[in-house]
Amino acid sequence: MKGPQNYSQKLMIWIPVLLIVLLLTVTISITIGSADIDMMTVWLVIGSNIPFLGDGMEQTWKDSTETIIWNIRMPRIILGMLVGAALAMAGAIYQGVLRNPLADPFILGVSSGSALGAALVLLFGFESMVLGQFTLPVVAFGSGLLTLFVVYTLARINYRLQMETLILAGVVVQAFIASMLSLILALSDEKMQTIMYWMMGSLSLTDWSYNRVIFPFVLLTILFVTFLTRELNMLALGEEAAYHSGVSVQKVRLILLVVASLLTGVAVSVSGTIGFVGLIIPHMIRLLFGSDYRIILPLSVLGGAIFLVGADTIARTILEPRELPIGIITAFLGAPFFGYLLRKKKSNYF
Amino acid sequence: MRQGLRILGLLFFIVLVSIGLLGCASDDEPNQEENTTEESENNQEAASESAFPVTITDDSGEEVVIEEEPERIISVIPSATEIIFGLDLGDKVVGVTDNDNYPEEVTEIESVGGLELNTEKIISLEPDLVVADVNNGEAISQLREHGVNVLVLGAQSLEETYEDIQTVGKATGAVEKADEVVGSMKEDVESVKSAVQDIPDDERKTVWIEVGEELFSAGSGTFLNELVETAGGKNIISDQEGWPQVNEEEVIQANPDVIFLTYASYVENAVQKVKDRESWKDITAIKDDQVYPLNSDITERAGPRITEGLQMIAENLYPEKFNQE
Repeated sequence: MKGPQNYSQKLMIWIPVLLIVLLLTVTISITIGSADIDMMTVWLVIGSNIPFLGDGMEQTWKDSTETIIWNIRMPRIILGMLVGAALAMAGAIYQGVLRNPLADPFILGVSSGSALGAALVLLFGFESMVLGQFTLPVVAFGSGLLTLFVVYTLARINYRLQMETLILAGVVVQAFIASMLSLILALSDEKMQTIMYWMMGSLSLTDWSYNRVIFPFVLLTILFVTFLTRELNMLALGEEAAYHSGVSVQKVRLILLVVASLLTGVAVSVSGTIGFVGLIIPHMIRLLFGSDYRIILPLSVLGGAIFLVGADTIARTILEPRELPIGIITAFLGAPFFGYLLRKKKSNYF
Repeated sequence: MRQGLRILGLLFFIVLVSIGLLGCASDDEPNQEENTTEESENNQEAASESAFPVTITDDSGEEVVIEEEPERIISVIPSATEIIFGLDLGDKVVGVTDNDNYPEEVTEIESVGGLELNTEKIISLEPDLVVADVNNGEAISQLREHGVNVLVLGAQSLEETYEDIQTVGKATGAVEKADEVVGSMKEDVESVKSAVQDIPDDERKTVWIEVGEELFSAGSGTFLNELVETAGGKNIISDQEGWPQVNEEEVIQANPDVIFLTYASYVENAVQKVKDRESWKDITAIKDDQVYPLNSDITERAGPRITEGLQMIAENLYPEKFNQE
């Protein structure tokens, strides 16, 4: 652990750098796509949609161009940023709290629970009158949290939470849910494809409404967690160390786990289970900038956003007009990196 | 669990890829097949009507020898069931699958499984002919090892469907009926073709075929594509093969005149959901209320009713050409 100057200095340099990279990624992403629209038109459309700036502008392009840029590409990119940020942050928190380098946002069964809820909604074609198109995300979110609750209850012995027990409980519950999912898939006939597609995760077919709902949530959570980074540092050192430095271990741990699970639940509910982001982004940041969570958390948020927007851009353009499932891209880029990490592990950086 | 997901995902891909490959493969297969079919057809007509034994090279490339006219037939694929019933041989069918729903009486017949076939059940029914599809894969060779006579079909186009019907006719001693069925199918196709042939190229309607809500579609090499093109429509993604998942931007830019949905039978309010898509509201098909559900039983099953599917598509595309008749 270095002194406070050191960490704030690092952040002063790297947050702006990553912000610029993110801006560049978004710029490239909005400019390229399956539809042939030249760069100039893309930026005119965006400009015209910015309040004040675009008020005097005249529309010289087709309505369909406007729709493609502003109602398809833009919300998709923003959703990618939010989901990437949420998953990477959740992954960083899990890795710190559970003190396990293999921890990712799905380790405690939140994603399995969400997938089961989503599969049931898809299988029965259930749609609530009140929730409308939000039926599926809300059910997925709810069932994800329910699963977390079950895992937590299983793992709590004598009012104490052992991290190893928690991970084991997560594995067991996931295995059980996986069997139910397989059963649903076996019985689902023609709905199989839809369910499978949901489980693989995707950012396509989104619109502004999802962003409006999850944007404030993700933002507030990120701000909230930045107040807990010092405690996370202590926890990552070990329970004893944390206890002796005055951290209320059980309480902080629970708060962090719940927050990380909420983030995961929100991300999964709107985009399915997109793998690898939550696992490798925190590792990458840790590898590059050291194991101080005051640095890891904010930089993971930016790194996750960059990685997912980039991966989604590849997924939707590389074989255009086809779409590839984004999970292919994240794993294709993520797996070699993970191999590299394993080689690197000699230096024992975790 | 995540590993499980990945495996499921992988399986899903294998299925998609193999569908794609089938689509490609079917381009070169038919020629070779056509020859053999015609040859043996001639041979048989030269001989007498019910000249058993017959030797047939089926779509799996296997030479199937049928010693005498089959009396107990099992169909393990709905399209084959429709062909057999179409040849008036329904009373010989002793087994079908859970997916069969046409004609109505098939629901009374014993089931031998769904997507997974129950080999034990099939053998216990003592069939002298099992009609299967190339997609049944492993199960076919397993049945053959147990001495069951399996005739494998695998039509991917109208032309191949005619051939499959004639193959079944030959295998069951119903050659004449098969010719009759194929003849009337060809008449249906001709009447559709002649109704739309005068439409100039720039007035032909562009079509978006939606096979799954996640914007899966049907490209070249698929039945749906062939039916739409035969009915005088232009599939907006005919440059892709098989069953691609298409980027939403692409559909909006192509601005289709008509949208067909193949999943409306099992997704509630499918048509309304498409019309309600926020970013689709400027598409011509949505503005002109040209979103139609397709009955996938008659547009994807390589059986006698496929031409009904063609007529339905054509009537939805150009109602003015067909209402006059």
